[in-house]
Amino acid sequence: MNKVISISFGELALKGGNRKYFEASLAGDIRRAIGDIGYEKIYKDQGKLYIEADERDFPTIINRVRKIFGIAYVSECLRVDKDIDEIGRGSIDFMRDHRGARRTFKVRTKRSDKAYPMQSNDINMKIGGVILDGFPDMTVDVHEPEIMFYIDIKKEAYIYIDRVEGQGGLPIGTSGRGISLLSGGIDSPVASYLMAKRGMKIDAVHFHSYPFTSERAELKVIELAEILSRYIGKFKVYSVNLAEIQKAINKGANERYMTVLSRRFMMRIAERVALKRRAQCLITGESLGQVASQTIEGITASNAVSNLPVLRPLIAYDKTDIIEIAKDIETFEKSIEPYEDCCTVFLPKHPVTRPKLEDVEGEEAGLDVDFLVEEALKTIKIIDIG
Amino acid sequence: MIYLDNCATTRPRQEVAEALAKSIMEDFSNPSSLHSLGLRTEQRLKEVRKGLASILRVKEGEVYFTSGATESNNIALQGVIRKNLKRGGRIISSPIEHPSVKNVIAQYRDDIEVDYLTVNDKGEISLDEFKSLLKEDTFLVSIMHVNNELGTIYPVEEMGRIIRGTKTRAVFHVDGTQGFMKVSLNLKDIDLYSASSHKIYGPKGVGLLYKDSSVNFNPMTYGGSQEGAIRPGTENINGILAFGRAVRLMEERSKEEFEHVSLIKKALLEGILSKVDGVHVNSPENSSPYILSLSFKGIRGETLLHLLEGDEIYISTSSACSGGVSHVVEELGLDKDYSFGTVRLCFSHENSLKDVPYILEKFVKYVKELRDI
Repeated sequence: MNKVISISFGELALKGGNRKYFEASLAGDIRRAIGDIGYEKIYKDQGKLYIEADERDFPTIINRVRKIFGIAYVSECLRVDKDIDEIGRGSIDFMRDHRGARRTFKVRTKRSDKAYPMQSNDINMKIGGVILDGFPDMTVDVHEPEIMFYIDIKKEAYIYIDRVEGQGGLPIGTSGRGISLLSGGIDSPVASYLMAKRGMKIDAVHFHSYPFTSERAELKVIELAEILSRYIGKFKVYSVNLAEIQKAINKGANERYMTVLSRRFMMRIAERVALKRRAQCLITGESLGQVASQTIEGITASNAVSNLPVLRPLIAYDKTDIIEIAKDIETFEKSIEPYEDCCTVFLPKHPVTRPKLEDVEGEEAGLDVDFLVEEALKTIKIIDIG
Repeated sequence: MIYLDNCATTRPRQEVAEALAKSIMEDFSNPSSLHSLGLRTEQRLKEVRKGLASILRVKEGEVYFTSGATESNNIALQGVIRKNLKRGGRIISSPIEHPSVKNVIAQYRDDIEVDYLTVNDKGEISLDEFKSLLKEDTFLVSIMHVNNELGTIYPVEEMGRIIRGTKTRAVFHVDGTQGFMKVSLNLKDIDLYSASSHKIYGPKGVGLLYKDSSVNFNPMTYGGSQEGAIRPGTENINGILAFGRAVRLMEERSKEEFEHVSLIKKALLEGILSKVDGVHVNSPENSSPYILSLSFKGIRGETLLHLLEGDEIYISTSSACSGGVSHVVEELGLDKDYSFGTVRLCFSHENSLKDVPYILEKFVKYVKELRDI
């Protein structure tokens, strides 16, 4: 009889043929997350992963594991021999340790081991009786019990009560690679997080325009990236200087097109980085109608220069909903610090809000696009995060 | 490296750094300890205090060590204001004080009337207006000696005489941060005076408050009896000794240094005015030779700053791209085209007249580059 931590998978329980691959990926993520703690073993028993470790490390392990994408629940449980009397003794012990002030309960048995001599219902009845005998102040409530008392019958039996909710999603790396356009704002870290949660391995491109922005603006992005890495693991930030491009646009095009033309250059550069990193898509934090460049016309104009799909997980989100996620993943406080990029130098007073693609292309015609992109790529600085 | 941000802070002199390094191992004992080690440190502390008192021409018991001018300003202003809260009354100050004065006064705006002196486009005030604002129930006048963004020197000696000659209970506080040991000042008619060590090539984290013995108030922080109990806590003895060293060196060299920085400021100003159009000089004619504030038309100060740092020339700006312009520059009433392009150059003994052509060349180059964008 000893305590272990159980990990239930989220959606990947449904992944059929790929299940083994997902499980292996997740086990790897877990090993990386708790490697420094010194657990004893991670093993699989019919559809769940289990961690054996020093009980004193349980809170730390649970707290770290619950942040890994692809996990639905994490629970502390008691592993006992499948003998029904053993389960009964274990149930008394576990109930005593974990019930707190709660008085009503219901036993729910899941019998994965179909060869087990008792049916699930019989086990529920039997253990319910044992608990009632052991705790005269407790009663059974089948509709709204304060305690759902779980018993999983597998190679061994597992008893648990409280389930800590995980993040859901899919294990990182199981959905390909993407390059996220990461600014110091609120939206792009949230977009990166959401795509990583869907199992995508993320790297990021950041655009600054030193000397029009301060070095502190870049440091802020690095700090944001460090917060993100708590969820998405190690990744790289490619920091690109856009100043020369912005100067060229300012000189060679109508200032009202500054923003949309800058966006087009960002997409081109991000795509080049993506090809180098063998990434399959770009990710932006755009949300429809949020600012002048995020109208459908603006998005059409920037989309037109990318051959890779551009994923926009926030496109239909309200700002308030984005902020809520940003607070939840703790990027919000950092995002609202000052030192935001002061591309304000180049911000037009009256930007075009509904640019026509042919007009945008017309404005761009006077610029040596390839040369400017190549020059900007030379300014890339690679920063390792996590 | 050409460091022109000496109003923000200065690099300690070699002798000061050595004194600090030596002291930190030797003078570690607590001056309040009864044993002979404590006594030795106490006496060293006393020597520094005595030296400072003699330079400031005040009594030894009127010099208090603090963590810097911000703390000195807080102790002085909050001490005087709290004492007068019940009785009420008025304060006179300027709208272009350092935040450690401005924000302290703002804390009490619901309880106390504040009369702000008007300033012209050079940050200067009028003594006539000051006289007219000074009332019988004015209990505090607080103004800086030298403005930290413009270099404007305020006529604080005269203001002190006016206060003394008027029927008022006003206590006179002068924030001396940018003027201390740099612009001469007689404290005779001043009651409270704040200064920092790190503006005169001393270490950070040390400063002083001069408090005339006739002025009394309660401390902001309660604790032991150190520093007359208005600044309790074990003294930053090593910092104070190094501060003392910085003051003595400044005393020896300040005349020569004043001439030195005056020449640099003059050469730079003349050079820029002759080579660059669209420059507004914010510092008045008779300003501190340590400080030069300029506004360049049509560019952003911060961008110029970043370009110059690429050549290891370090300046400061009063306007950040995102934050708009400082409250001081705001008060000058400059055109927006100019105010965003405000930069500040602050000089020290480390700058050299030989560097002026190089600095000029870079200014001319980058201002032109930025205007061409």
